[in-house]
Amino acid sequence: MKRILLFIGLLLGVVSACKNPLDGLELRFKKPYPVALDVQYYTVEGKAPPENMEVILAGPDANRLITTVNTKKFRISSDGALFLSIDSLGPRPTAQNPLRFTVVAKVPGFVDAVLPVEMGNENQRSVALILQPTGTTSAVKVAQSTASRSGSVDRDWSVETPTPIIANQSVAQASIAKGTQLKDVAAKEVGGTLTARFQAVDINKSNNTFLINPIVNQTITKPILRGGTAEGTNQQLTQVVGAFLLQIHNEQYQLVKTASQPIRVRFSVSPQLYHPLERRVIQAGDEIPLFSYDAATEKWQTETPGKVQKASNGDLEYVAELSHLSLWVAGFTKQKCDTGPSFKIKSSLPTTNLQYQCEVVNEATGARLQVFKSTVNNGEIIKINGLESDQFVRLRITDALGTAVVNSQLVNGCSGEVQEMDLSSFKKQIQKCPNGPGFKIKSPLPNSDYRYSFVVINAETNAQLQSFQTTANNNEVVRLSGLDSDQKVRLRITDIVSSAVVTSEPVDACASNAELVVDISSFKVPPQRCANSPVFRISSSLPNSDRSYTFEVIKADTKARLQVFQSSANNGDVIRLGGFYENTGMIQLRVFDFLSSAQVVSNPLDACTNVTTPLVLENFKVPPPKCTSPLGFRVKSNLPNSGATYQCQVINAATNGVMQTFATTVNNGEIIRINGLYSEQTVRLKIMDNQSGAVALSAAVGGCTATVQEIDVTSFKKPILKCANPLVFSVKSTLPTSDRAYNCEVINDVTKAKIQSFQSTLNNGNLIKISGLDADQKVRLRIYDSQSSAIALSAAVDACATGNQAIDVTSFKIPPNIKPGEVRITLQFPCKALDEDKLPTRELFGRFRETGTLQWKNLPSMKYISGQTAFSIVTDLLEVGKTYDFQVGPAPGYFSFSESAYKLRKADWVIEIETTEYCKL
Amino acid sequence: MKKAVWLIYFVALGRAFATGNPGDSAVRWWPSAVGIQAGTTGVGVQWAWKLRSQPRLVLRVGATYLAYKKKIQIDLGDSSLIEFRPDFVIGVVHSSVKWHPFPRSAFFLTGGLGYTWRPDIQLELSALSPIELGGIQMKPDEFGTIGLGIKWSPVVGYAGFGFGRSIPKRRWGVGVELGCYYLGAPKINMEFDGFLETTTLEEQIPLIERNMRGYRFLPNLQLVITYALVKKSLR
Repeated sequence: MKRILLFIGLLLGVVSACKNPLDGLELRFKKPYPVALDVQYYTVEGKAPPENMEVILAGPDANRLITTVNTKKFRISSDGALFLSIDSLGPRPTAQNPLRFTVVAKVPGFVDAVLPVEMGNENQRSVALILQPTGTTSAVKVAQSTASRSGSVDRDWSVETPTPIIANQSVAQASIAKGTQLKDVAAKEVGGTLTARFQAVDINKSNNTFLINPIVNQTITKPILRGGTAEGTNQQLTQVVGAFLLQIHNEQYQLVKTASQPIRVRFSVSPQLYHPLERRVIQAGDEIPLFSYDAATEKWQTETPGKVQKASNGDLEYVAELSHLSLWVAGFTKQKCDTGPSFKIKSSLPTTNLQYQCEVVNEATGARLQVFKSTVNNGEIIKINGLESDQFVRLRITDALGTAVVNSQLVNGCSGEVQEMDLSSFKKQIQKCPNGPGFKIKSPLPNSDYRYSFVVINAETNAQLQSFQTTANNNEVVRLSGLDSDQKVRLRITDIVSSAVVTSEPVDACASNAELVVDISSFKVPPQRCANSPVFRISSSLPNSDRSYTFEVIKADTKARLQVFQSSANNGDVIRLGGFYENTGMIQLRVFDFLSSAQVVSNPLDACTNVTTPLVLENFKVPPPKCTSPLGFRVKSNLPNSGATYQCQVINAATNGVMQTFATTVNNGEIIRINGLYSEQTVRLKIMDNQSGAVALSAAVGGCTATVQEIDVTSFKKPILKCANPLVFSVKSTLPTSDRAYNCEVINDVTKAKIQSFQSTLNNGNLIKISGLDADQKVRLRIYDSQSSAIALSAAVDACATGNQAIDVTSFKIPPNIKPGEVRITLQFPCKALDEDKLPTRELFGRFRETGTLQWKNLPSMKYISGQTAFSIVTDLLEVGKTYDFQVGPAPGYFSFSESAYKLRKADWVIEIETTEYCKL
Repeated sequence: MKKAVWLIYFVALGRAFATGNPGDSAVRWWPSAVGIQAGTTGVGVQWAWKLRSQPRLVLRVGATYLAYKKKIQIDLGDSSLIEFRPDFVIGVVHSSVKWHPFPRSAFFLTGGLGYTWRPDIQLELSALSPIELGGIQMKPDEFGTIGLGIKWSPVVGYAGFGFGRSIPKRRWGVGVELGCYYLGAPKINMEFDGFLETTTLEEQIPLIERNMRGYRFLPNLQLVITYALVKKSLR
């Protein structure tokens, strides 16, 4: 038995000896290695590639490559990103000792993406590669051949691109002669089974090549000059003859760089191709520039030009002999001129600051290359820059004061010569006269306020320069101004009574001292205002009333309306007319009855007569009297009494026209009284509830009904009353004065529902005014700190409380400043303090792209600063107002956390992290 | 090679308990029984032979088998789905000696050796949907795959005790046995990519192994039903 107990004891001892396997485990993030190369793979459609991508690293220095977290588990992420670093086990890459490797991405259905890389420094390189589909419609020709161990091609090898080199031309054919020895970039032989990829490249399409297409805006960037190492200036392609990409490697993805014999590539060229230097179409024997781009070094090279020759079928073809494999582009280019032509002005005009239109015109196309304004004073030199080597131009200057145009001689855009331009045909500048001549009126006519028509004309051309109207009484002086100089003018006055015209003597437009006499004694006396005016006395049998009638004064002959007015028309009322001239002529007065539609028209009489004429209102009907008491409506309502006012309308029941509009309260039992109605009117009262859209409409009732009517507004909803005054909070803050805006919320104290959210500065003593709050509720103001997890919460106060309420934000942390154009990204932990020892890392790596675009851009790393509760960076790469996708992780290439389509509304982007794992307890 | 060794082992065992004089075709059969068992280490069979010279000692050989392999999806909430794929096999071929210390009692003590051809537990974990972590989403491929393997020695020791006669007095018998396999200290093998790759977990594996040094024993509780093939020695 003892033995049994001993055994059981042993068993229990063994079992109780078991520890938690994770006891003492401290998981932290590794310190990542700097990124040497990041490759972003896309499909032609701009989407992420399939997820089953395989990555192979080859080349002499592939063993130096690691992931950014120092593993060899290379992978392409689901969004097509690959990040590589260089280990610390060997020398760092230098221009003299670069690291060379090849990155191969394989995925079924797509041409292998084989990217050679030569790193001559430790700068991060970012590459975007477009995966080209395989299949019969593929633009990439994949062919295979073999080479001996010494790299000698076993047979003559010819490969053709599947698509024409350029639309409507031939495909490109590459020929490698048997015995050609192929070597890689390190001059090692490339033997075994060779795979060639050959395609015609459309340089305008960035997504149709299986390798990099570095051409943007048709520009070849700083190509290395032929036979040297110096960089030339940017070359802009003006006519592309053909572009193609040829890549060959063996099974080990050892890429061919050089060939012992030239690889000959040929394709047809259009016989209409224009030779910009010879200024004619091309012909056999012409050379066409050739450039190559090495994707490994990312450098352009100026190559030996290819030649145009006659093909066996008689057509023109372009033949290039390649000494190495790259992206090749054949075509004519141009470059920006360092020095442009100059033009010296020859002019006899006085010096002036007048600006003249200058145009640099391309001789070949007639296009205006540059348009600018310049003075053209004698001896001035106009220098033209920014032209290109293939441009032959003229400078064209247009006279600002005339129609003359002067063209320079033809000159090359890069010519530094100075050419003379004679502008003697240009007109002298005409200036405005500061003051003009005066004309003194000589008239025998009595003074009058009658305004005559005056015209200023050019004395030579009789062209009308100015016209105006003014009086022309004796000894009055009419002074001209605003005239152009260098001309003589005349003043012409016309009399409409006699049709007489008087024209002054010519006088210089700028002769401000001159005062010419203009005699208008041939004019007749102008019309005068009537000394008297007719009077009408109303003769009516109707009882007196306050009703107004419409009166019209019309011309007796044409019946044209001269005046219209409203007036009462009780018996004996006097209507006195006025405002007529002597030449107004015969008039009539007309009055309308609004009840019977009858009208009465007076006899014609002179507008200046002083007679009193009776106007008998025949057939006018007696207007009903105004109601003696107001019409009353008693409100029937089940709403609590309030001071809310409602819009009311008195509506004519017969016509539905609105007769009166007013606003009033509609509490139960209230009587709404309507004045000003007449006995013939039948009306309804309409009351509108704007909040619910309900409308109350009374029954039609006579305007003078004495009994109080009822109007039912029980369909109205209880009015939500707004506070009359804003709720005001006074900020108590220890933050430095700034314009930083903080997120604020007004919440209902009972339901905790957010009523308003807004941003406000939080400087000490600031008053935050909150308008538009509904009454009858308790609210709190809540403000979030952007630098910590602190939240300020006010006491619960009545929404309509008067006086200043307090909000204390002294717990908020002082934020660093953000300069204009910068954005701060903050990963904010929900803690008052972080347990720094628990933090798995103190640096995070992020990248972003504009939502809807392809290219990711790396952000500076986000560092944790001791004592804070957030990781943050300030960057000028982001712009407020744009929408971004954002990723962040513990190492480049391991972007574990992502946020998509985030609209960046302000410069302070705070991403709340919800875990309290790292918070201090 | 291993199969050949086991074949030789069983042939030798058979020869030990079915003996005869050279040239004599008659074979003497010793008391023996077969049994089936089920318990914490799975189901199995065993053969038992009572030793001629030591009737209280019984030699037995047998095998047990238990396997579990399944995909288990776990919803962490917020539409975050992860999948566990546990995979383990307990397959032990064992040989042991039972000792009945009391002649009239069915109580016995036992000890022996065993061999297991897959002495490990494997577990794979991956995400099926974006994982919500602290308000931030982690894509499945960023979460990656975590593979955990715990491996013990293939040769295991065994000790235990129980009640039940190895060769029943009647034709059928029932017994129960409680014991423990000694597996040795486990070795941890972790394979992961994705998020955990960025951590120092790999450096922490020795610590986990140290913490698991106590995980050397596999308890075994078995119910055994035996059938006596030969209750007494037969010639």
